Parts: sequence; C-alpha cells; structure tokens
Amino acid sequence: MSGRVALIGLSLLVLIAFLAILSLTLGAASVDPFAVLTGRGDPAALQILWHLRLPRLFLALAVGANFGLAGLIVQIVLRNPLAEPGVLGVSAGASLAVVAALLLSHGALSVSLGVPLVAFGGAVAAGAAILWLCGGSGDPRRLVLGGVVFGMALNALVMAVIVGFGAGRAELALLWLTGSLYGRGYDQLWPVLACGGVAALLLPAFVRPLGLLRFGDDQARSAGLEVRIWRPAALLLAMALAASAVSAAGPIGFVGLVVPHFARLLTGAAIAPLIWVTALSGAAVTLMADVVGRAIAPPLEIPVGAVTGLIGVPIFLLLLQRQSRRRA
Amino acid sequence: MTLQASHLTLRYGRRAVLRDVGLDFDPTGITGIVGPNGSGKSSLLRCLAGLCAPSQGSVSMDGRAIRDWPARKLSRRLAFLPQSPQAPDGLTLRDLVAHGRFSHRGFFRTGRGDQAAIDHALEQTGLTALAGRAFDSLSGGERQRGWIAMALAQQSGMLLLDEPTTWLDIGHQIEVLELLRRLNRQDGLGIVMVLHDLNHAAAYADRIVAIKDGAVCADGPPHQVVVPALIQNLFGVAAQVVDLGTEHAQRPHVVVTSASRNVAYGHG
Repeated sequence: MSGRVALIGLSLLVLIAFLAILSLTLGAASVDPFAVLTGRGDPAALQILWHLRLPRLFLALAVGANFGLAGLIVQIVLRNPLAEPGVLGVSAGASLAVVAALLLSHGALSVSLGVPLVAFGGAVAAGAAILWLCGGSGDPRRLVLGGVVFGMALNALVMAVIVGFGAGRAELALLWLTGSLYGRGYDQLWPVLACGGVAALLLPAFVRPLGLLRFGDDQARSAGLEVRIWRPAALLLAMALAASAVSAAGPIGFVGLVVPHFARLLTGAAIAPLIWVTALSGAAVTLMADVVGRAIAPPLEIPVGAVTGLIGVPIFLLLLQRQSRRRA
Repeated sequence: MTLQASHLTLRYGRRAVLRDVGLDFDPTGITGIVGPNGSGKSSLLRCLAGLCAPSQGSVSMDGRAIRDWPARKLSRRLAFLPQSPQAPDGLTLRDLVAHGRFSHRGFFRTGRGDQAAIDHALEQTGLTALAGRAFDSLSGGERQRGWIAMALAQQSGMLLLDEPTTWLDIGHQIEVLELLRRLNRQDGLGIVMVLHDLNHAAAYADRIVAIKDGAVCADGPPHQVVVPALIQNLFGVAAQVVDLGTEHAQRPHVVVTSASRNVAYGHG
C-alpha cells in the first residue's frame, strides 16, 4: 500500500515538473527557460521568467494545494462528500469584500496588495460569522445548511454591488470572481506559501483526529477524541488555507470539491497519504488549468477558475467510471 | 470502578426525557435497560457515556462527574457503541478496529502493545480471518462484531451498547449476545446495554432496569422484573411469563397472549 502511495506521489511530481516547464515556456511571449538558465537568454526573457512566470508557477501550485487540502478537511469534518471550502463562507466573503472595495474605491485599491488583504479579511470575517452562527462547535448539519444559505446571501450581495456600482469596471470585478492568476507576483505568493507551510507542519497532528471525526460525534468522543476542540480546530485550519488561496487567486471553484475525491480514488481511505496526494493533485490540477488557459488562444488568457472545471470534470468522471467498474 | 446516575434529569426544550433517575451500575455484571419506544432508555445510555449534558443531577464515575473526565482518559474506562454506527468508506476491518486505539496511541506514535490489542480484539470477536476484508463487504453480523471489536480495542473496563441486536436476524442476534456474555464472564468486561427484546434481556442480563416515561419503574434480577404486571404497565399487552430456567437459575420468558393495548399512546 505505501509502495503504491509512493508511486502515485512520484507520478504526480513528474506531472508537476512537466507542467512547470510548460508553464515557464508558454505565454504571450515565448521564453526558453533552458536558454535563460544557461545564460544564453536575453535580459527581457530573464525578467519575464523571474518576475512573472516563476511566481505565477509557484502560486498556481500553492493555491491548488491549499484549496485541495481545505476541501479535504471540510469533507471529512462535515462528513459530507459535497462539502467544499465555500461552505465555510470564505469564497463568498472574500468576493463581497473585494468587489465592494474594487468598485467603491474607484480604482484606488492597489491590486497587488490591497485586493489580497481585503479578500483575506472578507474571507476570515465570513468564516468566523458562519462558525459563530452555528454555535461554534461546527455541528455538521447546521454548518452545511448555514454555510450554504449564508454563502448564497453574500453572493446575492456581490451581484447587487456589481449591478449598482459596476459602471465601467464590472469586468475587473468579474475577472476576480472567476479566479485568475493573471498578473500575480511574489507579493501574493508569500502569504499563500506561509499558510500552506503552517498547515503542513500542523497536519500530522490532525491525521488521527480527522480519522476519528469520520465516524459520528458519539463514537469519536467515546474513542477518546475531544470533538469540541478538534472539530473547530480542523475547520479553522481549512478556513485559513482557503482564505489564503482565495485572497491570492480569487474563488477558484472545483478544486476544493473534486480534488479530494480524486485523491481518495487514487489512494483509498487512510488519512495520511490522502493529505499528501490531495495537496499534490490540487497543485497539479491548478497548474494544468493555468497552463491550458494560457495555451489555448495566446495572447488571450482563459482564467484558471474557468479552466479547472473544463479539464477537471472529464478527468473526474473518467476516474469515477473506472472505480465503479472495478467494484462491479 | 463505579458508574452512577443520581437525580439525573434531561430535558429537550420543555419535554423531560429523563426524570430524576438514580442508578448504580455494577462494573462486573450485565445490565439490560428495557422500555417502550421513546421511554428515554437511549438517552439514559448516552448520559451514562458522558455524551449529553444532564439538565439536572449528574452521572459520575469514580466520584467525578462524567462530563469532567478528559475524553481520552474516559475512553480507557468506558466504551460506547451507538445503535447505528456509520463506517467511513474504504476501511478494512483491521483499520476500523485500529481506530479504537486512539486513546492509547497518542497523535503520532503507535503505542506499545497496539498491534497486540487489535489482534486480541479481533480474536475475541472471532474475526481474525476477516481482518483484511473491506468492512463494507462484511455481513451484518460480522459488521456488528467488528464494531464490538473496535470498542474492545479501547481496553476499557465497561462497555455501553445501544440496542446491539437491531438490524440482525435472530441467529446473529443470539451470536452477538453470546459474545457479550462471554466477554463479561471470561474477560470481566462490565456491560450495560439497551435491549429491545424483553426475552433477550431476561436471558442475558443479570439485572434489568425498566424505564417508562423517563423514570425507572422497575430494577432487579430478571425473575423479579419480568412479570405480567410490568409487561402490561410498560408495553400495554397481556402476557404470560414461563420459566425456562434450570435448577441453577431462573429464566423468565415472555409469551404475549393479547395484543390489545390499554395504555395511552403518545410517548412513541
């Protein structure tokens, strides 16, 4: 089993390396990363590679890993295969904050620093509000229902703000709402990496609690898990991961919902391999979506959030099909 | 080890589910809790396991309120099996049983004697040969024994079970009850279980506690509790009780003679 997991991890790493080379090469301007690395490239190419493509590459990986992990935790803790980070309100909260700030500040908001900060604030505020509304304990049924309803209300407000104040700048808001990696640099990368890094340090302690939270509350508690502490803690971790990813890239849909299932189909039910395969798969899927979005019709870009659904859904359906055939 | 409820009252909103229940539990015997649907017997069991907070009164173990015990320490003393436990997808039987080891394992290390305890729990429940099978591919009776093995892996002194024979056919019901009796007699595991079937309680419990409308209405050895008047009172049916016992022990057995109910409905 562990050999199988190692093989899966290795395959994902190879896939990511391959995609990384494509990601550095493809784009509006064609750059040969090997020429730059060996000192034969021109200074403009070096600039593009170092300040545009490299941070964007790492951002795609980090955002994908964070969304994937957030989705995995939420699905386990809420015992609901349809749960995704959006249930915690982070995407809707970030969207409302960003759209309102973008449109009401009349363009004064700095896109590289202001938007991520506002998004993170909105995400955390919405997540905290939902946890509080559901009594702080994270009771799964209340949280799922409360989260979905609260998210709908926030998204309705987003639309209201766009319609009411969008005049002339609605595209900017809409582009952010789709989820895009366009124009992102190191400023946006560090917070996402920091959240992902902290999560990677904490997650080993969560492996066994998450394993028990998959059973009902009563059984988890009688097996010795302090559910009142570990469930909110796990949800806070998921919230931080999703909020950091949303703040950098906007609400990229699909990754948090489907990547955990994808990883489960690959590895099985054990939590520890599931965590690492989810992180790697999320990174790979998001990078792939970004590369495809840039490669289809250069110099135009299709936002990564639009592509994740387009390439992820067929892959997922294929896996599901294979899985059900194996069971039958 | 002592487990006791005193003046235990539990309310959901204005409805009292348990009313002033006082009970001491024998850590070495088998106690069967019986009563009609909605009488509060499952709520009583959950309170005993420290899973719901009493509105008044208390449940305590070794003199300390059960809700004040740290979950991990409590789980080494007391295991609980709900009526319809849900297994996550994709676990093998052995994986499932291993989850019962949480309180001994800590968060990272695999505790000493871990594998041995899992093996022992599988052996006690006769599941050693099935350890590698997918849990959801097992039969109903095997799954129920698997859940019991997970609880046994906690190595607690007492086991609380909520209707452990529901969903099982009569052969598997007896198999589970025989297993529990063996665990009690051979391994000294104290057992408190809610049972649906009076005859099962009469046959397997050393003591029967009858609950009606959230209060204890009878408490004692089976031959004292299982009498026609109580059955009439609890379930509203006329019944005869025959003794199927040996010279060593009395063993009352209920035969319902009239299905006419003459108690009010409304607690279901």
